[in-house]
Amino acid sequence: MRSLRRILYVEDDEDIRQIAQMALEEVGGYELGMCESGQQALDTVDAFEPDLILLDVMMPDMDGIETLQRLRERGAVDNVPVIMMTAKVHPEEMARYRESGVFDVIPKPFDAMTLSDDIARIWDRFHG
Amino acid sequence: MADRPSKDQLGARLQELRSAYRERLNDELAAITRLAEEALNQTDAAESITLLGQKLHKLAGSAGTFGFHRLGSHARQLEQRIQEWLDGAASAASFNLIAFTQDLKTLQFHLGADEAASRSISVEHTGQEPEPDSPLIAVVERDEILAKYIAHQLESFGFRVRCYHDPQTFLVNNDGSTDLLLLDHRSGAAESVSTSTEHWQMLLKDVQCPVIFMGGHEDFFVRLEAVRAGADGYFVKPLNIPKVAKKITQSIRKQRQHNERILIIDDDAELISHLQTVLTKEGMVVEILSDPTRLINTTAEFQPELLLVDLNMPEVTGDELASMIRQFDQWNNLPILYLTREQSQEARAHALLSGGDDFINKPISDDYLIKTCRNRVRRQRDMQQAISHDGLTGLLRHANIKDALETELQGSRRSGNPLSVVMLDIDHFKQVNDTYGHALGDIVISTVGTLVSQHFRRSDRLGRYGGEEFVVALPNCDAKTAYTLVDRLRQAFGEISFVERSRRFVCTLSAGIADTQTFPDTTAEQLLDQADAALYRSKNAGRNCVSIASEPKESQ
Repeated sequence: MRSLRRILYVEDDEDIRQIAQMALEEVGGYELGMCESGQQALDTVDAFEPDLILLDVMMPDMDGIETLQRLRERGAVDNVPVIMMTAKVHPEEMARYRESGVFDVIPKPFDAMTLSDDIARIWDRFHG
Repeated sequence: MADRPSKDQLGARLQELRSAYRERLNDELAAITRLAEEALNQTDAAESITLLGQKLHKLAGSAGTFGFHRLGSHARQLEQRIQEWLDGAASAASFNLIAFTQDLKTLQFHLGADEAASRSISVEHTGQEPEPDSPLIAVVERDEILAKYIAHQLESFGFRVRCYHDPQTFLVNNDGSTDLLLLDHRSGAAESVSTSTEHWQMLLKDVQCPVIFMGGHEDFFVRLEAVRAGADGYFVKPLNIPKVAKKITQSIRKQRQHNERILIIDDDAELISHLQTVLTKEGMVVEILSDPTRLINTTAEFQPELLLVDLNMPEVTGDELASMIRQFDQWNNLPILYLTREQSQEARAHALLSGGDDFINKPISDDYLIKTCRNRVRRQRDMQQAISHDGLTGLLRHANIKDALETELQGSRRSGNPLSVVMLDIDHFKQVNDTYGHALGDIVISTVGTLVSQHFRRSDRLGRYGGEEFVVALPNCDAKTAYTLVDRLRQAFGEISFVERSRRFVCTLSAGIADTQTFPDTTAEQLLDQADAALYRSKNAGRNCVSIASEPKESQ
């Protein structure tokens, strides 16, 4: 199985980026590509070649679902698991994520201490 | 991996980020309020309100991540109201900006509540291992350090604790000896994009013991999930362990409750025998009576928790019997249900006025009967519990422990078995209140309450006598045996440290014991006085000790 190294992380809120960065780089030891918007993610995804993509759902201009659609259109998520990070986890919203091809959801607010473990487990499941 | 920071270092970094975020919060909240006030003065406020929505969204997203969960979820609700209005789901007229601005002010209040919660109080202990027969708690928590921490704290209260990384590991190892399951609701739910309610119902379907959920934040849907999974409770992290311990004690006690006692009065012998069979199969204790003239004696002897009375009997009617029962003070709260075919609203209303609580219509469905009886008795027990028990400690209130002591003393006289009375008092409690505040003082009292519940038998009568004073009545137990039990409690309490932010302190308690072997012909009041005198000897001897009242009381 391929090992998880590079994570593309898209989140518009600077505070949350800061905590997630600490959780993923320092705890998880992953290489992180940080984007402040869906557009930035589209611009960097080809060069960064992520193993996994973490998307915030609610973002101005382009939300997480649309970002995912446009990433798919350009073939950037073939065999790359996409995880949504969101506070909106009611059943109908979960169904919408599922339809959009989201592999898993990490509910917000997330726990900085266990975030990287959660992602590692999701990764194992994606390849398991 | 070696150069990565430890969890402790990370915790410190997180704390730093949190502090920096906290400093900016005041400005952020002020800016939000200002924006709303500006919108109030604008003829077309749509733009300002949209901006307000964005700010609230940002706050909702970040506050929770930094541990300000109440603030975060309140901001989320406010954001949703704006969103609904923008989406047109709520009409423009229904968006009351003045009321909304008022609600914004409660953000500050929620921030205060979060800060109070972050000064969460924990307990630590240095004591011996819990007794092998004490309740066994299974903790399912992914974070190993947190799990160990919870385990250590629960052990302070005398529970045995086993930790599991995930629900599956627990299920594989569960041999049925677990008394309660304390479960992080995310320990399995975030695993896949499936509705987690089904997930938990599936996972927990074979778990017989009570379940308590814990989670990251206050949320209606998580609570709903907990309810649907059959959980007894839901606690938000960081856990207030004394509260959790109290809940655990209550849940386990409830699980071990005795069977429902039901008295059925009906002249149709065939019917009551059927009802008896149905309810007995469900584990209830049922007494049947076809001769209503024996009502008073049978009720007094059998001590039912619920009366089922046929409304239409030839000699005497059900509502007459209900009126008769209500003439006795001690049966004022005894639930009475009428069994009837009566459809007339007038007759039914009259029956209710006579003192009955509700009707079970004939023909009676077995399932409905079982559920109604069970529900009535449980609700009555809950209410009785709330009336007679102190909310902070879960122990009997002053008047109730005195009554209980009186009952036990009579029992002791009849049986000739000894009875011990214990008076307990927290040492220097006023100083705790003055130094750490009443909220923390309450935690200390509730901790003693939980420890007392843990250390004595089910047949013992436990009460909070006053502020920081407790009374325990131990039937069939002499002073020497009581001393061993109470001293073990005293030690366990002394080994608990209360930790509030960087402050840490230890409390102790003193106790006095008097038994009926030393004082054979006393009243309950005198026995209490003797225990109290012994307690004062403990206080004078330097506190943190237990004394037995040994000599007959000198006249004062």
